[in-house]
Amino acid sequence: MSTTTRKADRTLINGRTSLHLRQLDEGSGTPLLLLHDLFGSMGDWQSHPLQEAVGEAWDGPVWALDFAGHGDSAWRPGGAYYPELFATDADAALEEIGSACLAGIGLGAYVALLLAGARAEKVRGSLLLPGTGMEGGGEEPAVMPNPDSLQELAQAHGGTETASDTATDPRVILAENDIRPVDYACSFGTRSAGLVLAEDGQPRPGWWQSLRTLPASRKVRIESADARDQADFAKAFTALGTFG
Amino acid sequence: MSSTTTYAAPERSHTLEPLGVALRVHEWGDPKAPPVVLVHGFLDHARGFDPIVERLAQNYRVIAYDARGHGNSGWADGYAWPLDVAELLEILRWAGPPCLVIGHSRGGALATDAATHCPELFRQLINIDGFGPPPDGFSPPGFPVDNRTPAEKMGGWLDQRRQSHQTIGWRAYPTLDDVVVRRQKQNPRLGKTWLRHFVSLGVRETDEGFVWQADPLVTRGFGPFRAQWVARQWKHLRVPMLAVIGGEQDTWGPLPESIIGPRLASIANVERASIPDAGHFVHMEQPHAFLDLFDGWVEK
Repeated sequence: MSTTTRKADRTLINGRTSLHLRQLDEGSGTPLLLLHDLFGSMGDWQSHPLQEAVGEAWDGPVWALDFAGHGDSAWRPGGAYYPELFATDADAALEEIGSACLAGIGLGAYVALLLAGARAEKVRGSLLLPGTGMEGGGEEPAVMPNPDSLQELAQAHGGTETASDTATDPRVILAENDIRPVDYACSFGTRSAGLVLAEDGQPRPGWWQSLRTLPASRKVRIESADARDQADFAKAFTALGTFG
Repeated sequence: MSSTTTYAAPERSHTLEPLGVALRVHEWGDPKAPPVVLVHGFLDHARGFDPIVERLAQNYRVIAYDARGHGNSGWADGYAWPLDVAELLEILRWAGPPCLVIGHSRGGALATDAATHCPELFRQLINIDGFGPPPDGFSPPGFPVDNRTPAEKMGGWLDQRRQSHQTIGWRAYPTLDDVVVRRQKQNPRLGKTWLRHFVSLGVRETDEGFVWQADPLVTRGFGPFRAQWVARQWKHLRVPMLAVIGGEQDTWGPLPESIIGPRLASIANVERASIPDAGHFVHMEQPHAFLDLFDGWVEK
């Protein structure tokens, strides 16, 4: 990767929402697109040992996206936030940068999986890292009614009237409850060119577990997602690079 | 319906924005009367209840609203079921609960889910043929079954969204009558006179002709939804419900008893009724029979 850091910002239009895409680093080789976690932003990659890990392990250009409702991207009109729509955000970024590898944390990891399967011809490999929004709302809807979640949505909208333009849209909490059936997730994993699962010994949701035995999957041991050990993550990105 | 039927225009109209999308809300009747809230079906609009509004308004404050992406309400960038449910609950809070609620088709399912979550906002619930899709989804006649995997389908969905987001739109029809003819092909049981009124309130005129007013994006969702999830929480429904279907088979229903029966079986307080000579659009096809049924059940 080039030692010269270039921060080129681009504005993308996805449907009726404008998105913020930034080139964090130049380089020659397969592009890498970084997808942040729920309530996060591309800034998380920059202020993180992950940036060093990426720098150590990746030769190609590195891009980061703010999902709709996060960071400097616009709030999605109407507040519909769920992984498949976040995947359309990442798809718009792929349209811009071309065939690439993906690395996602938490919600971004699930979005990377969806895109790895749906855009198998463009996504060369995907690194899935644990983080916020990884769980979703389980493998099937809850049996018990949950009025609190609906009340929270209305209250979250109330919060939008006082939130600043650059804050995360409070309505992204909708993405905490989306359903992620195992066989559904598996259909994306089966079609993907390559997956790297960052495992730290902590429990993973069913959708993640279902990927472990797929031929496309490789597992990379990381000590702890919270410790954010640079050497560990460099190992994970190096594994991703084998798909580049 | 006779060819001379006219319908009462709304007495009051408002725009509410409970969850970030402007919703058009119409009212009829005494503002101090107990509220009845009407929830329309997919790609329909609030005025689809016109055939029953005038009689209801003799005893109730009647409230009908266009759901997000429908009628004269605002559009979003993507649609999600929980937002529609939450929006209905906010409409009920605004109307002054507990409310009588009548929902048709998708609106019936929305109202049933909403009542399951927040029974305190409901007095009673009438669900007109809104019991979810069949296990394999609604497939209109002539459309082949899609056997692609979810990942393959999502690839197609992404293509469609990327290619069409600038141009997405409905076909334009040269005249209003052309739209009526198109709609009647889809809903052959609905008469032309009624459809002309209903359609005229659900289209807008552009330079190219008449187009549906609903957001085309409401038809472009994607996710892991499964029909077997439809009634998953309904066993917790405590609001008294009247489940109404038409006696005749129609394009969109009713579902066979082998599907409806199990979905309703777990509900503790449900009464079922079938109205003869009606298909899916019971309140449009047989408004008087529906209202007679409504009056009798509500009084009980």
